[in-house]
Amino acid sequence: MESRARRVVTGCLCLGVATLLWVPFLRHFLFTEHDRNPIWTGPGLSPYTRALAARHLAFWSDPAQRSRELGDLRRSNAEWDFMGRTYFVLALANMSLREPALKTQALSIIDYIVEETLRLESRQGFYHFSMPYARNRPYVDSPARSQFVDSEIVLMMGARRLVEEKEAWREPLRERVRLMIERMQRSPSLSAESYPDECWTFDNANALAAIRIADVLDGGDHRPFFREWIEHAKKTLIEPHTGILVSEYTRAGSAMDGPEGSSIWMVAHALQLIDEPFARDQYDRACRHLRRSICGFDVSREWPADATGRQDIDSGVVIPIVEASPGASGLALLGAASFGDSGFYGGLLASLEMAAFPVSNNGSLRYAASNQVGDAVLLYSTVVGPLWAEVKRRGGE
Amino acid sequence: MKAWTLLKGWLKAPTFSPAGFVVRAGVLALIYFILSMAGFRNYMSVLSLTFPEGSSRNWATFACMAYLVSYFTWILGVPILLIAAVLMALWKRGLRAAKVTNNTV
Repeated sequence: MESRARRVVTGCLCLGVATLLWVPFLRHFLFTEHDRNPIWTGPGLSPYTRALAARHLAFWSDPAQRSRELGDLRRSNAEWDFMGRTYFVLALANMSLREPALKTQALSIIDYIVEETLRLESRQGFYHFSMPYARNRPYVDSPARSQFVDSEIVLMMGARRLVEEKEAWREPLRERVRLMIERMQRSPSLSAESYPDECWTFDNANALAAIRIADVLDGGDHRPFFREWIEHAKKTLIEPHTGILVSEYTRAGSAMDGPEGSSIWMVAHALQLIDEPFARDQYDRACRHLRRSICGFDVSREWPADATGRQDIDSGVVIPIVEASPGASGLALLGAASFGDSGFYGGLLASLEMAAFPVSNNGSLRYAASNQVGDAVLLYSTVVGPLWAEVKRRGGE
Repeated sequence: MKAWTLLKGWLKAPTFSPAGFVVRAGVLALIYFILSMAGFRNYMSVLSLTFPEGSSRNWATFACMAYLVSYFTWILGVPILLIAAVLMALWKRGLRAAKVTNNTV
């Protein structure tokens, strides 16, 4: 008869060997669906993109589903309602450029989304899409405006006009761009506020990309201002240890936070339209300090390894030990796809399949651990490219 | 009757034995399937701080965490226990074979 102690030791040894046999190969046994072609290079749209898009088309065509999901989303963060619109519009514009047969349907949805957004903004003000603390104290620059809302509205309108001109939006877009530039130029940090005395790199990088799009559409030239902004940012907004842009600062330019994954991946993507080498440098640095690869699975940290921040609505629930931030990892998909980093993108998709809980239903796909904005970012990442290429083409690059 | 006797034998098997590992893998798999059938997967949006309508935050957080643990035991714990069960059975068989060889010699 085998002694108990001997059985326990043998059992533990077998468990240890089994762990070594299973864990390193888990990704190759179970999560291989995106390995062949993580960044789609085939014609038109991939079946994966179609399944993701079906979820959003259902969302925007079913008022009951939209009201239910928007309720959940807005209870957590009103910003997400707005960002979900932006990312879906950007995805639709890219989808139209990839597959022209989709253009009519895509443009009608874009027009509906933008018009509804403008209606909500005009009735309830930009506060409708802001977190409640936007009302806690006055904005430094007056009258109060949100760079978050302005930049993304211009991005949406500009994307639509790049796919096909819409004359009715020419003047509203020009006027909003004029206001954004005025506010940025009279700010000591060359950045406009999104919240009272709070400027976000995310929103100001988006604003620069939006202004660049407006330039190619309406013949403006803000390249000197772009150069000035980048030079200023390199001097004042870079965190010295990592060399990555900080995420949040006062209007005067004092950093309020260090680099964050939920910011830098999108910032690098937006800056591709302004200064490609600087954008690439920021992407590479973000990979160095925020990317984590574990047995073929990739995630993004919210903060660099030796910095700690507070978990918030942008980071999502940071998973202990692996330090994965759902918000940062979602936006890392966009960064990796924008810079053609198929290794990182494939690893992020494998993590998504493993830990974001895909739910398929009648040909549509969503992720249970995500929400409407997360799914829209993912969709955008699967089609990103043609819109930015069109801006560069029209801009003579 | 024979199957029931066999099952009872497996259920009574010590934790650190091939049968013990298989039984525990089965229990973990069963918990995962029960939670999946009960719709706990829908609470995973709590990870992105989005709380489903009509449920309290505490309940949603509990359901999310319960599902998360059961899912990871399903994809990590269950296969490891099954592989360990096979390894332990092979180990025992190897030991028995070695004993028989020694006795014969």
